[in-house]
Amino acid sequence: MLTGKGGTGKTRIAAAIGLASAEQGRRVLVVEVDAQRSALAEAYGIPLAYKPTPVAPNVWAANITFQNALNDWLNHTIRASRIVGLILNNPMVQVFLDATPGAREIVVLSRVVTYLDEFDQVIVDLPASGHAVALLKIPDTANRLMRTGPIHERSGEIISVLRGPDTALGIVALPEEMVVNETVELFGKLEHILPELNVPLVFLNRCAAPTMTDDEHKLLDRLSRIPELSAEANELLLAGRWDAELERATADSLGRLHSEIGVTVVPFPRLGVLGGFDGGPVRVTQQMAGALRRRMLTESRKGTPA
Amino acid sequence: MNLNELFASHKLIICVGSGGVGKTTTAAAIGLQAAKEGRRVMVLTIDPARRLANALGLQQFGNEETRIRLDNEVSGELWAMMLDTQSAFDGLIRRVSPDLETQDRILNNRVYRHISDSFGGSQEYMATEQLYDVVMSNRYDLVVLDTPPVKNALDFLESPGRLVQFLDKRILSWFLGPYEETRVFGRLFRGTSALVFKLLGYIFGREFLDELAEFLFIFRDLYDGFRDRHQAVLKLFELDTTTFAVVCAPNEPSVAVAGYFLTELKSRSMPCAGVLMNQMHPTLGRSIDPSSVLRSLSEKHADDLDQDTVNQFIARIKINHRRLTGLSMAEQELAASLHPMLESHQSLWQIPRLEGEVHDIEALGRVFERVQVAVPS
Repeated sequence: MLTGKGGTGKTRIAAAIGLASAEQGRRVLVVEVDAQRSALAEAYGIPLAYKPTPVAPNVWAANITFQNALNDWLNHTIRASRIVGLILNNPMVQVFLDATPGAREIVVLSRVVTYLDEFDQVIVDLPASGHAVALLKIPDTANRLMRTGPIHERSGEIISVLRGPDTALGIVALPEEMVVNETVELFGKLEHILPELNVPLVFLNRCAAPTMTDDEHKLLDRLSRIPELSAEANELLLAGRWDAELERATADSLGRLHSEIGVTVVPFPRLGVLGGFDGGPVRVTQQMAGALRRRMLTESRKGTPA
Repeated sequence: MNLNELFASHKLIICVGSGGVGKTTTAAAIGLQAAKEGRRVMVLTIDPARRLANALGLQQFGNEETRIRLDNEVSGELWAMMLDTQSAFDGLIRRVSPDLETQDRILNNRVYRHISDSFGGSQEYMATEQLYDVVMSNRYDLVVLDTPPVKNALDFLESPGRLVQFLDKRILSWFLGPYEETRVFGRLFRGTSALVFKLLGYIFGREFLDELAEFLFIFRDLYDGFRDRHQAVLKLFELDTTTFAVVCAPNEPSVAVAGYFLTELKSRSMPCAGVLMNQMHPTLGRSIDPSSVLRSLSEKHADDLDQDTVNQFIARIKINHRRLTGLSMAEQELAASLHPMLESHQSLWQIPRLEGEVHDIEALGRVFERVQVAVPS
């Protein structure tokens, strides 16, 4: 599962992990949970639906929408199509499903969990941090609120998957002070609501490796202090400062994530001029998968697990 | 419309947009700017309040109206407050309960505690609740609402509808019918009611339905209060002095979300002033040769530095600047892609990115310094 502050690029990273992981020989499914606008479809450049669509060799992607998941749920639990039809067509039942806390989410999460039987790995692009925390809390709430019946049972199953050794959650962040603050906060919240959930990785997107020498920094700083330079000179120096700032922020963020939460940080380089837009979204997904592939190769040479 | 006109002609501005686009900072900057124009302003945010506190240079503040200290020459006032979902929910129950007994029964009901905590969209719904109180208090000339980055775009407009729909008398009486008289399960279950009840039991389990019925049973007298309240809140959004402002950043996903907001607001006939595009990198828009502009200057200031520094520096600046101009061009294209979506009364404000992060009042005051306005042609 992947989450992170909005705008950090978690969908693209989920898409890239799907590609890189399938290359290791797994059958992988990448899913969005009840997305109104499918961002995953943009990342793969292929329209997606509820039913898994092949997007690359051994990679499928799907948007687990509530209505379809409900259909599957009912067919699976009840097995009498007449009754299923009655439920799906009854407006009163729909009002209840809409308004009852957690019902929607349990139905969707339950469908995600059942895919674990059909695929070697399921990558879940969760909503942004705050909503992901709310979503991950729901199985427990529903399990306690509904003390019998299918929701009780299915939420129990979801909880045991979330706690299990084969489940992990990665947080996507950016090298920016506020984003790192929120990442640290999110880590703490997850530890509080789901202490058994394994949170081993932070993906730090749009990083710039430090390449500027101290002397270059000094020179940039000195020139920037000169008053009344030409507009051209100011713009050139500003360009230099933006990149110097990103290098510094990358180093700071890596340091803080190590010291404050102590998880492994996987950096992704900034791609292209826009930090990832030249060549379009699909190209970005492929480049990110490439970055993961190189990292996994290095790790396997060193003998550490990918 | 320039930004000052926007701020001056409204009493309520609601900032919407996806996460990570600087919505909170923008809301705070709007508040500060309006305070400088002499108005009394309240900026409301929803948990986490840390972001707004950060932008205002504070450690933190809570769900009480807090005045932000400004320079003496600022004639207006800037206030901030965090909206607290749970206490707002409890407050609402107190307000609409006919008597103390009903109030206590609801506040202590197990289903209520869960619903108010994890009801889908309850945060957004409660935001509108508290917003209403603050606006109606008339203590402020302008209220700026920083909405949470909701996945389901305008949940906070819809959720009251959903909650009220759930509490609709017809549904309640249908559902509670069997409970009204004897509260004996099964006895009164006949016809459709019984069937649907059985169907619901397949999904939720019978025990939960009993508890829910108990909850709704206590709730049934509150429906009118809820409905009136909801309609009053909705009226707030229809006033001429209310406007939505879509905030976005110059990247593809965020601009796509901004377009989505414009469409959604239009389809709901909600007033929207336009789009504030944050974090832009404006440039002169031409290629500049770093060697001719910076080399002699650099040599003058590099006496004590490593001898390769100037060459390396010039080469680096060339790359940096190429990246910056490419970025700027791509951003302009993204901004232009929003133009066809704007209506004649809407504007697109391009807000240049500031160097360093905005977390003090001084920096916040510079956010709108070099804004460029584009209106649809």
